[in-house]
Amino acid sequence: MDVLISGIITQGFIYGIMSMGVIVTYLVLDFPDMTVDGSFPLGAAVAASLLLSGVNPWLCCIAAFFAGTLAGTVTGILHVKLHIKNLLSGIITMTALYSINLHLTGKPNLFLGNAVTIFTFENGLFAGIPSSIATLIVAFLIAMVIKFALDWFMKTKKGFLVRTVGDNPQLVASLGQNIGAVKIIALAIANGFAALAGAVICQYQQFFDISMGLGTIVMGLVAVIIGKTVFGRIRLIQLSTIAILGTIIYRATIAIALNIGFESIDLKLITAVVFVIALVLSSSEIKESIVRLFKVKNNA
Amino acid sequence: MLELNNIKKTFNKGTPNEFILYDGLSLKAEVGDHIVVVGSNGSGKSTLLNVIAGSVYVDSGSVVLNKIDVTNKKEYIRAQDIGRVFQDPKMGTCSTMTIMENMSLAYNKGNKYGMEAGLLKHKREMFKDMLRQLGISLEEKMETKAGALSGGQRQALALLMATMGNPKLLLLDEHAAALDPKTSAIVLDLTESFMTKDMTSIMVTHNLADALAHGNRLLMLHKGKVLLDIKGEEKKKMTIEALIHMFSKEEDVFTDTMLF
Repeated sequence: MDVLISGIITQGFIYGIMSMGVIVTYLVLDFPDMTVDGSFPLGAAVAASLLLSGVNPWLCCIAAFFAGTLAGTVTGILHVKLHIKNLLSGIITMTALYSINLHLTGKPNLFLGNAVTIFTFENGLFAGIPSSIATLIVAFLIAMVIKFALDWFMKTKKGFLVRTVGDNPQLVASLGQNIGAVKIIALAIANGFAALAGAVICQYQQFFDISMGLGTIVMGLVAVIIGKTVFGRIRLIQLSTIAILGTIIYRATIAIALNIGFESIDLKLITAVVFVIALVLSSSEIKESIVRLFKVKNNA
Repeated sequence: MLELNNIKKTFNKGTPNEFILYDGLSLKAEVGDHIVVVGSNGSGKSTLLNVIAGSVYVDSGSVVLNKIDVTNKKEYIRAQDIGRVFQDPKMGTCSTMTIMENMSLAYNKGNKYGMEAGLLKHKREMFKDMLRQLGISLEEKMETKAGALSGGQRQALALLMATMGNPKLLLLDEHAAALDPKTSAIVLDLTESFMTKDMTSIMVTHNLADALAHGNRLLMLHKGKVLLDIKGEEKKKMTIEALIHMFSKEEDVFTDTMLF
Protein backbone atom coordinates (compact mmCIF):
# COMPACT_ATOMS: atom_id res chain seq x y z
CA MET A 1 0.00 0.00 0.00
CA ASP A 2 1.12 3.50 -0.72
CA VAL A 3 2.95 4.97 2.27
CA LEU A 4 0.94 8.19 1.99
CA ILE A 5 -2.40 6.36 2.14
CA SER A 6 -1.36 4.09 5.00
CA GLY A 7 -0.16 7.23 6.81
CA ILE A 8 -3.56 8.91 6.40
CA ILE A 9 -5.42 5.88 7.66
CA THR A 10 -3.00 5.35 10.55
CA GLN A 11 -3.44 8.95 11.68
CA GLY A 12 -7.18 8.58 11.13
CA PHE A 13 -7.27 5.69 13.60
CA ILE A 14 -5.09 7.48 16.16
CA TYR A 15 -6.94 10.80 16.05
CA GLY A 16 -10.13 8.74 15.80
CA ILE A 17 -9.56 7.66 19.42
CA MET A 18 -9.75 11.35 20.37
CA SER A 19 -12.82 11.86 18.15
CA MET A 20 -14.59 9.02 19.97
CA GLY A 21 -14.19 11.08 23.12
CA VAL A 22 -15.45 14.20 21.38
CA ILE A 23 -18.53 12.40 20.09
CA VAL A 24 -19.38 11.40 23.67
CA THR A 25 -19.10 14.94 25.02
CA TYR A 26 -20.39 16.88 22.03
CA LEU A 27 -23.15 14.67 20.61
CA VAL A 28 -24.20 12.55 23.58
CA LEU A 29 -23.59 14.89 26.50
CA ASP A 30 -24.21 18.14 24.57
CA PHE A 31 -21.05 19.57 26.18
CA PRO A 32 -18.53 21.38 23.93
CA ASP A 33 -15.46 20.28 25.86
CA MET A 34 -12.40 22.47 25.23
CA THR A 35 -10.37 20.44 27.73
CA VAL A 36 -9.36 18.20 24.83
CA ASP A 37 -6.90 20.84 23.58
CA GLY A 38 -5.04 20.35 26.84
CA SER A 39 -5.65 16.67 27.56
CA PHE A 40 -4.37 15.54 24.14
CA PRO A 41 -0.88 17.06 24.72
CA LEU A 42 -1.15 15.97 28.37
CA GLY A 43 -1.27 12.37 27.18
CA ALA A 44 1.69 13.05 24.92
CA ALA A 45 3.65 14.71 27.73
CA VAL A 46 2.98 11.87 30.16
CA ALA A 47 3.94 9.26 27.56
CA ALA A 48 7.05 11.12 26.37
CA SER A 49 8.46 11.76 29.81
CA LEU A 50 7.76 8.20 31.00
CA LEU A 51 9.18 6.68 27.78
CA LEU A 52 12.42 8.60 28.18
CA SER A 53 12.78 7.26 31.68
CA GLY A 54 12.49 3.76 30.29
CA VAL A 55 8.92 2.79 31.11
CA ASN A 56 7.19 0.18 28.92
CA PRO A 57 5.46 2.05 26.04
CA TRP A 58 2.11 0.30 26.62
CA LEU A 59 2.20 1.26 30.29
CA CYS A 60 2.88 4.83 29.12
CA CYS A 61 -0.36 4.71 27.10
CA ILE A 62 -2.34 3.48 30.10
CA ALA A 63 -0.79 6.16 32.34
CA ALA A 64 -1.66 8.80 29.72
CA PHE A 65 -5.27 7.56 29.63
CA PHE A 66 -5.62 7.94 33.39
CA ALA A 67 -3.99 11.38 33.34
CA GLY A 68 -6.64 12.36 30.76
CA THR A 69 -9.50 11.05 32.90
CA LEU A 70 -8.16 13.21 35.72
CA ALA A 71 -8.21 16.30 33.47
CA GLY A 72 -11.78 15.51 32.43
CA THR A 73 -12.77 15.08 36.06
CA VAL A 74 -11.38 18.52 36.89
CA THR A 75 -13.45 20.10 34.08
CA GLY A 76 -16.48 18.17 35.33
CA ILE A 77 -16.01 19.36 38.90
CA LEU A 78 -15.57 22.99 37.77
CA HIS A 79 -18.85 22.71 35.85
CA VAL A 80 -20.91 20.62 38.25
CA LYS A 81 -19.73 21.72 41.68
CA LEU A 82 -18.69 25.32 41.00
CA HIS A 83 -21.43 25.93 38.41
CA ILE A 84 -19.05 27.32 35.80
CA LYS A 85 -20.45 27.24 32.23
CA ASN A 86 -19.45 24.15 30.26
CA LEU A 87 -17.37 25.99 27.63
CA LEU A 88 -15.52 28.01 30.29
CA SER A 89 -14.82 24.97 32.50
CA GLY A 90 -13.03 23.34 29.57
CA ILE A 91 -11.08 26.47 28.73
CA ILE A 92 -9.93 26.84 32.34
CA THR A 93 -8.65 23.26 32.54
CA MET A 94 -7.05 23.57 29.11
CA THR A 95 -5.20 26.71 30.18
CA ALA A 96 -3.96 25.09 33.39
CA LEU A 97 -2.82 22.00 31.50
CA TYR A 98 -0.44 24.06 29.33
CA SER A 99 1.72 24.74 32.38
CA ILE A 100 1.28 21.25 33.75
CA ASN A 101 2.40 19.75 30.44
CA LEU A 102 5.51 21.94 30.47
CA HIS A 103 6.24 20.82 34.03
CA LEU A 104 5.92 17.18 32.99
CA THR A 105 8.34 17.40 30.07
CA GLY A 106 10.59 20.14 31.43
CA LYS A 107 10.84 21.82 28.02
CA PRO A 108 8.51 22.75 25.14
CA ASN A 109 9.61 19.90 22.91
CA LEU A 110 11.10 16.46 23.33
CA PHE A 111 12.57 14.05 20.81
CA LEU A 112 11.97 10.44 21.68
CA GLY A 113 15.02 9.51 19.63
CA ASN A 114 15.78 5.82 19.89
CA ALA A 115 13.44 5.11 22.80
CA VAL A 116 11.38 1.95 22.32
CA THR A 117 7.77 2.85 21.45
CA ILE A 118 4.68 0.82 20.60
CA PHE A 119 5.72 1.34 16.98
CA THR A 120 9.18 -0.24 17.35
CA PHE A 121 9.13 -3.40 15.22
CA GLU A 122 12.75 -4.52 15.00
CA ASN A 123 11.86 -8.13 15.55
CA GLY A 124 8.99 -10.21 16.81
CA LEU A 125 5.44 -10.36 15.56
CA PHE A 126 5.82 -7.93 12.67
CA ALA A 127 9.16 -9.18 11.30
CA GLY A 128 9.14 -8.95 7.51
CA ILE A 129 6.16 -6.61 7.29
CA PRO A 130 6.84 -3.05 6.04
CA SER A 131 6.90 -0.73 9.04
CA SER A 132 4.19 1.53 7.60
CA ILE A 133 1.81 -1.44 7.48
CA ALA A 134 2.83 -2.68 10.92
CA THR A 135 2.22 0.84 12.27
CA LEU A 136 -1.20 0.88 10.61
CA ILE A 137 -2.09 -2.48 12.18
CA VAL A 138 -1.07 -1.34 15.68
CA ALA A 139 -3.03 1.93 15.33
CA PHE A 140 -6.04 -0.02 14.03
CA LEU A 141 -5.91 -2.47 16.94
CA ILE A 142 -5.74 0.29 19.56
CA ALA A 143 -8.63 2.14 17.90
CA MET A 144 -10.68 -1.09 17.82
CA VAL A 145 -10.07 -1.85 21.49
CA ILE A 146 -11.29 1.65 22.38
CA LYS A 147 -14.20 1.41 19.94
CA PHE A 148 -15.50 -1.86 21.37
CA ALA A 149 -14.94 -0.68 24.93
CA LEU A 150 -16.97 2.46 24.21
CA ASP A 151 -19.71 0.52 22.38
CA TRP A 152 -19.95 -1.82 25.35
CA PHE A 153 -20.01 1.03 27.86
CA MET A 154 -22.80 2.85 26.04
CA LYS A 155 -24.94 -0.29 26.39
CA THR A 156 -24.45 -0.62 30.14
CA LYS A 157 -26.80 0.90 32.69
CA LYS A 158 -24.24 3.62 33.39
CA GLY A 159 -23.96 4.23 29.64
CA PHE A 160 -27.74 4.57 29.43
CA LEU A 161 -27.53 7.33 32.04
CA VAL A 162 -24.82 9.12 30.03
CA ARG A 163 -27.08 8.97 26.96
CA THR A 164 -30.02 10.27 28.98
CA VAL A 165 -28.21 13.13 30.72
CA GLY A 166 -27.44 14.89 27.44
CA ASP A 167 -30.98 14.56 26.13
CA ASN A 168 -33.03 14.97 29.30
CA PRO A 169 -31.18 15.63 32.56
CA GLN A 170 -34.51 15.86 34.44
CA LEU A 171 -35.13 12.16 33.74
CA VAL A 172 -31.79 11.27 35.33
CA ALA A 173 -32.79 13.19 38.47
CA SER A 174 -36.26 11.60 38.42
CA LEU A 175 -34.58 8.19 38.34
CA GLY A 176 -32.84 9.12 41.59
CA GLN A 177 -29.42 9.55 40.02
CA ASN A 178 -26.95 12.41 40.39
CA ILE A 179 -26.83 14.38 37.11
CA GLY A 180 -23.43 15.89 37.95
CA ALA A 181 -21.77 12.54 38.66
CA VAL A 182 -22.93 11.17 35.30
CA LYS A 183 -21.52 14.23 33.49
CA ILE A 184 -18.18 13.90 35.27
CA ILE A 185 -17.89 10.22 34.27
CA ALA A 186 -18.53 11.06 30.61
CA LEU A 187 -15.99 13.91 30.65
CA ALA A 188 -13.39 11.68 32.31
CA ILE A 189 -13.81 8.98 29.65
CA ALA A 190 -13.70 11.48 26.77
CA ASN A 191 -10.51 13.12 28.02
CA GLY A 192 -8.97 9.74 28.77
CA PHE A 193 -9.45 8.94 25.08
CA ALA A 194 -7.96 12.29 24.02
CA ALA A 195 -4.91 11.75 26.21
CA LEU A 196 -4.47 8.20 24.92
CA ALA A 197 -4.59 9.54 21.34
CA GLY A 198 -1.95 12.12 22.33
CA ALA A 199 0.27 9.39 23.79
CA VAL A 200 -0.01 7.28 20.64
CA ILE A 201 0.55 10.22 18.24
CA CYS A 202 3.61 11.28 20.21
CA GLN A 203 5.09 7.78 19.81
CA TYR A 204 4.08 7.72 16.16
CA GLN A 205 5.89 11.03 15.49
CA GLN A 206 8.61 10.22 18.06
CA PHE A 207 8.21 13.81 19.09
CA PHE A 208 6.45 15.89 21.72
CA ASP A 209 5.64 19.53 21.18
CA ILE A 210 3.85 21.74 23.70
CA SER A 211 1.67 23.24 20.95
CA MET A 212 0.63 19.88 19.48
CA GLY A 213 -2.77 20.19 21.19
CA LEU A 214 -3.69 23.38 19.40
CA GLY A 215 -6.90 22.86 17.47
CA THR A 216 -7.45 19.28 18.65
CA ILE A 217 -11.04 19.92 19.69
CA VAL A 218 -11.75 21.60 16.36
CA MET A 219 -10.35 18.58 14.53
CA GLY A 220 -12.47 16.28 16.68
CA LEU A 221 -15.60 18.32 16.06
CA VAL A 222 -15.01 18.48 12.29
CA ALA A 223 -14.43 14.74 12.21
CA VAL A 224 -17.58 14.06 14.22
CA ILE A 225 -19.71 16.36 12.07
CA ILE A 226 -18.32 14.93 8.82
CA GLY A 227 -18.90 11.41 10.15
CA LYS A 228 -22.43 12.21 11.20
CA THR A 229 -23.27 13.89 7.88
CA VAL A 230 -21.88 11.07 5.74
CA PHE A 231 -22.69 7.98 7.81
CA GLY A 232 -25.30 9.20 10.31
CA ARG A 233 -28.22 7.80 8.33
CA ILE A 234 -26.96 4.23 8.36
CA ARG A 235 -29.28 2.27 10.63
CA LEU A 236 -27.78 1.03 13.90
CA ILE A 237 -24.36 2.52 13.14
CA GLN A 238 -22.35 3.00 16.33
CA LEU A 239 -21.24 6.49 17.33
CA SER A 240 -17.69 5.16 17.64
CA THR A 241 -17.72 4.05 13.99
CA ILE A 242 -18.98 7.48 12.93
CA ALA A 243 -16.12 9.13 14.86
CA ILE A 244 -13.40 6.92 13.35
CA LEU A 245 -14.65 7.12 9.77
CA GLY A 246 -15.18 10.88 10.05
CA THR A 247 -11.62 11.33 11.27
CA ILE A 248 -10.18 9.29 8.39
CA ILE A 249 -12.14 11.40 5.88
CA TYR A 250 -10.91 14.57 7.57
CA ARG A 251 -7.27 13.42 7.51
CA ALA A 252 -7.67 12.49 3.83
CA THR A 253 -9.10 15.94 3.03
CA ILE A 254 -6.09 17.61 4.67
CA ALA A 255 -3.66 15.30 2.86
CA ILE A 256 -5.33 16.00 -0.49
CA ALA A 257 -5.18 19.76 0.14
CA LEU A 258 -1.46 19.54 0.92
CA ASN A 259 -0.93 17.33 -2.12
CA ILE A 260 -2.53 19.78 -4.53
CA GLY A 261 -0.19 22.54 -3.47
CA PHE A 262 -1.42 24.12 -0.25
CA GLU A 263 1.29 24.74 2.32
CA SER A 264 1.30 23.47 5.87
CA ILE A 265 0.73 27.01 7.15
CA ASP A 266 -2.66 26.86 5.38
CA LEU A 267 -3.74 23.81 7.41
CA LYS A 268 -5.84 25.69 9.98
CA LEU A 269 -7.46 27.72 7.21
CA ILE A 270 -8.36 24.52 5.35
CA THR A 271 -9.69 23.02 8.58
CA ALA A 272 -11.91 26.08 9.07
CA VAL A 273 -13.26 25.80 5.52
CA VAL A 274 -13.88 22.05 5.88
CA PHE A 275 -15.61 22.78 9.21
CA VAL A 276 -17.99 25.24 7.54
CA ILE A 277 -18.72 22.87 4.66
CA ALA A 278 -19.41 19.98 7.04
CA LEU A 279 -21.73 22.12 9.16
CA VAL A 280 -23.60 23.43 6.11
CA LEU A 281 -24.03 19.94 4.69
CA SER A 282 -25.21 18.58 8.03
CA SER A 283 -27.98 21.16 8.29
CA SER A 284 -31.19 19.75 6.88
CA GLU A 285 -32.64 23.24 6.28
CA ILE A 286 -29.85 24.13 3.87
CA LYS A 287 -30.18 20.77 2.16
CA GLU A 288 -33.87 21.42 1.63
CA SER A 289 -33.29 24.90 0.28
CA ILE A 290 -30.77 23.52 -2.24
CA VAL A 291 -33.32 20.91 -3.32
CA ARG A 292 -35.98 23.65 -3.65
CA LEU A 293 -33.59 25.79 -5.70
CA PHE A 294 -33.23 22.99 -8.24
CA LYS A 295 -36.97 22.32 -8.29
CA VAL A 296 -37.69 25.95 -9.11
CA LYS A 297 -35.19 25.85 -11.98
CA ASN A 298 -36.68 22.66 -13.38
CA ASN A 299 -40.19 24.07 -13.32
CA ALA A 300 -39.18 27.26 -15.09
CA MET B 1 -46.85 10.39 54.48
CA LEU B 2 -46.13 13.92 53.34
CA GLU B 3 -45.99 17.03 55.48
CA LEU B 4 -45.32 20.61 54.49
CA ASN B 5 -44.86 22.72 57.61
CA ASN B 6 -45.09 26.50 57.52
CA ILE B 7 -43.41 26.83 54.12
CA LYS B 8 -42.17 30.29 53.16
CA LYS B 9 -40.87 31.03 49.70
CA THR B 10 -40.04 34.35 48.08
CA PHE B 11 -38.87 34.63 44.48
CA ASN B 12 -36.40 37.26 43.23
CA LYS B 13 -35.51 38.23 46.76
CA GLY B 14 -34.01 41.69 47.09
CA THR B 15 -35.00 42.86 43.62
CA PRO B 16 -37.85 45.12 42.50
CA ASN B 17 -39.56 41.96 41.24
CA GLU B 18 -39.64 40.40 44.70
CA PHE B 19 -42.66 38.17 44.97
CA ILE B 20 -43.81 36.37 48.09
CA LEU B 21 -45.52 33.16 47.00
CA TYR B 22 -45.88 31.13 50.19
CA ASP B 23 -46.11 32.87 53.53
CA GLY B 24 -46.60 29.92 55.83
CA LEU B 25 -48.16 27.18 53.74
CA SER B 26 -48.88 23.90 55.50
CA LEU B 27 -50.26 20.70 54.07
CA LYS B 28 -50.55 17.11 55.23
CA ALA B 29 -51.22 14.09 53.02
CA GLU B 30 -51.84 10.53 54.21
CA VAL B 31 -51.16 7.30 52.34
CA GLY B 32 -54.06 6.73 49.96
CA ASP B 33 -54.72 10.44 49.49
CA HIS B 34 -55.09 11.36 45.86
CA ILE B 35 -55.10 15.11 45.83
CA VAL B 36 -56.15 17.18 42.86
CA VAL B 37 -54.87 20.75 43.00
CA VAL B 38 -56.64 23.57 41.16
CA GLY B 39 -56.02 27.28 41.16
CA SER B 40 -55.45 30.22 38.86
CA ASN B 41 -52.14 31.04 37.22
CA GLY B 42 -49.56 32.07 39.78
CA SER B 43 -51.42 30.43 42.65
CA GLY B 44 -48.40 28.26 43.37
CA LYS B 45 -49.65 24.89 42.11
CA SER B 46 -46.59 23.90 40.12
CA THR B 47 -44.22 25.37 42.69
CA LEU B 48 -45.93 23.16 45.28
CA LEU B 49 -44.81 20.09 43.31
CA ASN B 50 -41.32 21.56 42.83
CA VAL B 51 -41.02 22.18 46.57
CA ILE B 52 -42.02 18.60 47.33
CA ALA B 53 -39.73 17.12 44.65
CA GLY B 54 -36.78 19.31 45.59
CA SER B 55 -36.35 21.24 42.35
CA VAL B 56 -37.13 24.37 44.37
CA TYR B 57 -35.78 24.89 47.88
CA VAL B 58 -37.86 26.72 50.49
CA ASP B 59 -36.72 29.78 52.47
CA SER B 60 -38.05 28.38 55.70
CA GLY B 61 -40.36 25.66 56.94
CA SER B 62 -39.90 21.94 56.42
CA VAL B 63 -40.76 19.19 53.98
CA VAL B 64 -41.22 15.79 55.59
CA LEU B 65 -41.50 12.70 53.44
CA ASN B 66 -42.18 9.32 55.09
CA LYS B 67 -41.29 10.80 58.48
CA ILE B 68 -37.89 11.92 57.17
CA ASP B 69 -37.10 15.63 56.97
CA VAL B 70 -36.00 16.13 53.36
CA THR B 71 -36.05 19.95 53.38
CA ASN B 72 -32.38 20.19 52.48
CA LYS B 73 -32.10 16.94 50.56
CA LYS B 74 -31.32 17.14 46.84
CA GLU B 75 -33.89 16.34 44.19
CA TYR B 76 -32.25 13.11 43.03
CA ILE B 77 -32.14 11.77 46.60
CA ARG B 78 -35.84 12.49 47.22
CA ALA B 79 -36.64 10.99 43.81
CA GLN B 80 -36.15 7.46 45.16
CA ASP B 81 -39.67 7.60 46.59
CA ILE B 82 -41.20 10.00 44.07
CA GLY B 83 -42.52 9.45 40.56
CA ARG B 84 -42.99 12.54 38.47
CA VAL B 85 -44.80 13.37 35.23
CA PHE B 86 -44.55 16.84 33.67
CA GLN B 87 -46.78 18.78 31.33
CA ASP B 88 -44.13 18.45 28.61
CA PRO B 89 -43.99 14.80 27.48
CA LYS B 90 -40.29 15.30 26.61
CA MET B 91 -39.41 15.61 30.31
CA GLY B 92 -40.35 12.04 31.16
CA THR B 93 -38.55 10.05 28.47
CA CYS B 94 -35.20 10.03 26.68
CA SER B 95 -35.84 10.93 23.04
CA THR B 96 -32.67 9.34 21.66
CA MET B 97 -33.46 5.96 23.19
CA THR B 98 -36.02 3.37 22.11
CA ILE B 99 -39.14 2.48 24.10
CA MET B 100 -37.42 -0.75 25.18
CA GLU B 101 -34.33 1.18 26.35
CA ASN B 102 -36.44 3.80 28.12
CA MET B 103 -38.42 1.15 29.99
CA SER B 104 -35.26 -0.77 30.92
CA LEU B 105 -33.83 2.46 32.30
CA ALA B 106 -36.94 3.24 34.34
CA TYR B 107 -37.38 -0.34 35.59
CA ASN B 108 -33.92 -0.21 37.17
CA LYS B 109 -34.88 2.72 39.41
CA GLY B 110 -33.98 2.05 43.02
CA ASN B 111 -31.08 -0.19 41.97
CA LYS B 112 -27.53 0.71 41.04
CA TYR B 113 -26.82 1.92 37.51
CA GLY B 114 -23.56 0.04 37.05
CA MET B 115 -21.72 -1.79 34.32
CA GLU B 116 -24.34 -4.50 33.71
CA ALA B 117 -26.21 -4.59 30.41
CA GLY B 118 -28.61 -1.65 30.27
CA LEU B 119 -31.16 -3.46 28.15
CA LEU B 120 -33.31 -5.78 30.27
CA LYS B 121 -34.00 -8.36 27.57
CA HIS B 122 -35.64 -10.84 29.95
CA LYS B 123 -38.24 -8.22 30.90
CA ARG B 124 -39.26 -7.60 27.31
CA GLU B 125 -42.54 -9.55 27.48
CA MET B 126 -43.44 -7.91 30.77
CA PHE B 127 -42.81 -4.46 29.27
CA LYS B 128 -44.94 -5.39 26.27
CA ASP B 129 -47.79 -6.45 28.55
CA MET B 130 -47.58 -3.15 30.39
CA LEU B 131 -47.70 -1.24 27.10
CA ARG B 132 -50.57 -3.37 25.81
CA GLN B 133 -52.73 -2.20 28.70
CA LEU B 134 -52.46 1.36 27.41
CA GLY B 135 -54.37 0.27 24.31
CA ILE B 136 -52.46 2.53 21.94
CA SER B 137 -50.35 -0.18 20.24
CA LEU B 138 -47.07 1.01 21.75
CA GLU B 139 -46.12 -2.65 22.31
CA GLU B 140 -45.54 -2.93 18.56
CA LYS B 141 -43.04 -0.07 18.64
CA MET B 142 -40.52 -1.37 21.14
CA GLU B 143 -37.59 -0.40 18.88
CA THR B 144 -38.94 3.08 18.05
CA LYS B 145 -37.09 6.00 19.58
CA ALA B 146 -39.17 7.98 22.08
CA GLY B 147 -38.42 11.14 20.10
CA ALA B 148 -40.35 9.72 17.14
CA LEU B 149 -43.55 9.17 19.16
CA SER B 150 -46.46 11.61 19.28
CA GLY B 151 -46.93 13.76 22.37
CA GLY B 152 -49.71 11.56 23.68
CA GLN B 153 -47.83 8.30 23.11
CA ARG B 154 -44.79 9.78 24.77
CA GLN B 155 -46.75 11.00 27.77
CA ALA B 156 -48.39 7.60 28.25
CA LEU B 157 -44.90 6.06 28.18
CA ALA B 158 -43.63 8.73 30.61
CA LEU B 159 -46.45 7.96 33.05
CA LEU B 160 -45.74 4.25 32.82
CA MET B 161 -42.03 4.88 33.42
CA ALA B 162 -42.70 7.21 36.35
CA THR B 163 -44.66 4.48 38.13
CA MET B 164 -42.30 1.58 37.34
CA GLY B 165 -40.12 2.05 40.40
CA ASN B 166 -43.23 1.74 42.62
CA PRO B 167 -43.00 5.29 43.95
CA LYS B 168 -44.76 6.05 47.20
CA LEU B 169 -45.69 9.47 45.92
CA LEU B 170 -46.73 10.40 42.39
CA LEU B 171 -46.50 14.06 41.32
CA LEU B 172 -48.43 14.99 38.19
CA ASP B 173 -48.03 18.50 36.81
CA GLU B 174 -50.84 19.16 34.30
CA HIS B 175 -49.66 15.99 32.64
CA ALA B 176 -52.73 15.68 30.41
CA ALA B 177 -52.98 19.36 29.47
CA ALA B 178 -50.92 19.31 26.28
CA LEU B 179 -52.73 16.32 24.80
CA ASP B 180 -55.75 16.02 22.54
CA PRO B 181 -59.03 15.10 24.32
CA LYS B 182 -58.86 11.40 23.40
CA THR B 183 -55.25 10.84 24.47
CA SER B 184 -55.83 13.03 27.49
CA ALA B 185 -58.63 10.66 28.54
CA ILE B 186 -56.37 7.62 28.05
CA VAL B 187 -53.61 9.17 30.15
CA LEU B 188 -56.06 10.20 32.89
CA ASP B 189 -57.61 6.70 32.95
CA LEU B 190 -54.15 5.25 33.31
CA THR B 191 -53.44 7.76 36.09
CA GLU B 192 -56.64 6.69 37.86
CA SER B 193 -55.42 3.08 37.84
CA PHE B 194 -52.38 4.12 39.90
CA MET B 195 -54.51 5.90 42.50
CA THR B 196 -54.52 2.94 44.89
CA LYS B 197 -54.84 2.69 48.69
CA ASP B 198 -51.12 2.29 49.30
CA MET B 199 -50.01 5.14 47.10
CA THR B 200 -50.28 8.89 47.37
CA SER B 201 -50.60 11.27 44.45
CA ILE B 202 -50.83 14.97 43.84
CA MET B 203 -52.20 16.05 40.48
CA VAL B 204 -52.21 19.65 39.33
CA THR B 205 -54.79 20.52 36.69
CA HIS B 206 -56.41 23.53 35.06
CA ASN B 207 -59.42 21.51 34.06
CA LEU B 208 -62.16 21.67 36.71
CA ALA B 209 -64.13 18.77 35.21
CA ASP B 210 -61.04 16.54 35.46
CA ALA B 211 -60.43 17.81 38.97
CA LEU B 212 -63.90 16.67 40.06
CA ALA B 213 -63.75 13.35 38.20
CA HIS B 214 -60.41 12.19 39.63
CA GLY B 215 -58.85 11.73 43.02
CA ASN B 216 -60.39 11.68 46.50
CA ARG B 217 -59.30 15.07 47.78
CA LEU B 218 -59.51 18.51 46.22
CA LEU B 219 -57.27 21.42 47.03
CA MET B 220 -57.81 24.93 45.74
CA LEU B 221 -54.82 27.25 45.91
CA HIS B 222 -54.95 30.98 45.60
CA LYS B 223 -51.94 33.31 45.89
CA GLY B 224 -50.00 30.65 47.74
CA LYS B 225 -52.75 29.89 50.25
CA VAL B 226 -55.08 26.91 50.57
CA LEU B 227 -58.55 28.27 49.81
CA LEU B 228 -60.39 24.98 49.87
CA ASP B 229 -59.48 21.49 51.07
CA ILE B 230 -62.23 18.90 50.78
CA LYS B 231 -62.22 15.12 50.59
CA GLY B 232 -64.47 12.07 50.25
CA GLU B 233 -68.21 12.70 50.08
CA GLU B 234 -67.76 16.42 50.24
CA LYS B 235 -65.60 16.33 47.11
CA LYS B 236 -68.11 14.08 45.34
CA LYS B 237 -70.87 16.63 45.95
CA MET B 238 -68.80 19.53 44.66
CA THR B 239 -69.87 21.04 41.35
CA ILE B 240 -68.05 23.06 38.71
CA GLU B 241 -70.42 25.99 39.33
CA ALA B 242 -69.58 26.05 43.03
CA LEU B 243 -65.88 25.96 42.26
CA ILE B 244 -66.20 28.82 39.80
CA HIS B 245 -68.13 30.77 42.37
CA MET B 246 -65.28 30.36 44.83
CA PHE B 247 -62.77 31.44 42.24
CA SER B 248 -64.67 34.58 41.31
CA LYS B 249 -65.21 35.46 44.96
CA GLU B 250 -61.45 35.94 45.12
CA GLU B 251 -61.74 38.60 42.40
CA ASP B 252 -59.32 36.65 40.31
CA VAL B 253 -59.05 36.67 36.58
CA PHE B 254 -61.15 33.76 35.57
CA THR B 255 -60.78 32.28 32.13
CA ASP B 256 -62.42 29.78 29.92
CA THR B 257 -59.50 27.41 30.07
CA MET B 258 -60.45 26.29 33.56
CA LEU B 259 -63.66 24.87 32.21
CA PHE B 260 -62.38 23.02 29.21
